[in-house]
Amino acid sequence: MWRSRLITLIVWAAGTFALALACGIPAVSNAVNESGAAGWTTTVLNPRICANGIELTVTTADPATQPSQGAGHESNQVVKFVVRALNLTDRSATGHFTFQMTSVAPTSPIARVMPVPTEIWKDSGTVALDAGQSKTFTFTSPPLAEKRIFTLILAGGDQSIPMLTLSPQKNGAIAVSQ
Amino acid sequence: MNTQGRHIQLIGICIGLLAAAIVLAMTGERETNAKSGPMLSECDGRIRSIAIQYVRGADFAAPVYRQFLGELPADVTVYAVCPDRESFEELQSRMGAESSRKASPPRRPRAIVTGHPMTAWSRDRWISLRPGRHESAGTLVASRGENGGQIWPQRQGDQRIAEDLARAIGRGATRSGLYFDGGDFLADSQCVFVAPGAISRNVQHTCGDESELSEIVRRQLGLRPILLRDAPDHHAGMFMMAAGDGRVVVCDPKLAKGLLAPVELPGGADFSESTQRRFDSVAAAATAAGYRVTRIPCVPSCDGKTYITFVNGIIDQRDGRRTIYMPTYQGQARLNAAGQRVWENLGYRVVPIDVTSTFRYFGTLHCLVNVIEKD
Repeated sequence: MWRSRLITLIVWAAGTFALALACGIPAVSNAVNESGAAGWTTTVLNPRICANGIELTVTTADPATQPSQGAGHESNQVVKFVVRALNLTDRSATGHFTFQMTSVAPTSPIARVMPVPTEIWKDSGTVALDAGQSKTFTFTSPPLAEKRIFTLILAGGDQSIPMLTLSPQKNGAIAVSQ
Repeated sequence: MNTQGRHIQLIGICIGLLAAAIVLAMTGERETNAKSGPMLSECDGRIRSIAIQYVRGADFAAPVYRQFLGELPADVTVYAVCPDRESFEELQSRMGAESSRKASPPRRPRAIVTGHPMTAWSRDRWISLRPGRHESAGTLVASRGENGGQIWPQRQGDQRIAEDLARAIGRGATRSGLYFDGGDFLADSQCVFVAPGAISRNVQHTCGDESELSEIVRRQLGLRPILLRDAPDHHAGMFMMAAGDGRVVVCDPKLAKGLLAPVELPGGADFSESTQRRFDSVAAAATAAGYRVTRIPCVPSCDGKTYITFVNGIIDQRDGRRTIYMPTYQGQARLNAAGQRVWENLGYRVVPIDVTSTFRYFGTLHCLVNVIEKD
């Protein structure tokens, strides 16, 4: 009799112990993930910039090349960008933006850093939208040479954000990352 | 089931919960204990160990290593991270050549062979955190990704060096969620200054805005961040240095204007007002953060990356006195002397290190040497 009670006690204790650990350990680890950059930073898939209530996001036209780390973009060395503008306010708004593309490559394999990038293209425009309205427009990059890094920078208001980085590969693909 | 049977179940559940609580508390405590200390201060403490990188044919770096390692106190451990054995042997032979001209025995850096491509610039690869309260050794923090790694094989290899080094010397290494070059951060015991590169590479990429970035830096590096959003577009150690006791030394191009001897710089010296404003903004940001600021001559070039700077040195504090291994430049006697005077007036012992062979590659001594451990 006492033996069966002891076994019951052990079975319930062990089951409860295992269940509690399974539920509890991940929470404890996450709570003190010191190295845990992953817990502190995020990956912003679509960087955005806002000026005067108008928000702009940029992606590449091909859905397969949504900007993510290491995504590949088959291309004849040009990339088509899709810009989406959205009025976040409840009134008509106008935002002025500047688009700039820069190009850079190491001056020497032994240099400490890249040189200052060269501007290869620049345009600016004003976007006027009604309350809550959105608008999409596209543009194509200049031809992109191999072994260089191209950055699309958007400036608006007091912000300037490098939105996308493109690096043409030997096989003709263009890697798109943020 | 009778009442007695239910009591036994209840007791079993209680025992299980109690045991789990004890295990979880212990696990939690261990994890908490693993919390690292803050980023190493540039200007406080005695240097215990450093890392340099060397690749075969890095002619620009060898003379700087020769001088610096020859001057460094003998109790400092030097790790030489090299892609292959031949590179290490070449470095050894160059160190030996220098030491034979000195009375002291040749310093023998300890080799760490990585087996992959890399550059000769150690400073940008990782940041060293002091050991936490319950840690025996500190942690090396690497960037989420090297700038230019997509097209630059050496830079891609550089991305792995924190792990290579940590494994070899028995320390922890971790990869940050932030993009940065080590040179984007410059710390004393209170604050960490953040260069524009680390701001633009992270805002809207790894965090929403600058305040979020500040919070992440504060948590990861354990110091109060000061974002230098209007600073020159270069690593912090090129335009400023922490000097200790609430003071920073900040470069000032206009102080160098009358002292610069003729020298060929890419695009010429940049004494423009817009560039001067960027340096002044660093001084203003430091002052606003409660620092006393001392200005020092500096010559930026029109390429934006080649500097004649006297802050890009290594500081060692021992026996109550600080020493700066200060970069100097051939043919610039007046500038060198002016830079030296600034540090001496702050109570520093100055050891000049000729960096003429390196500065045209966008960095000098501080960029070549990374301090792993300080007392």
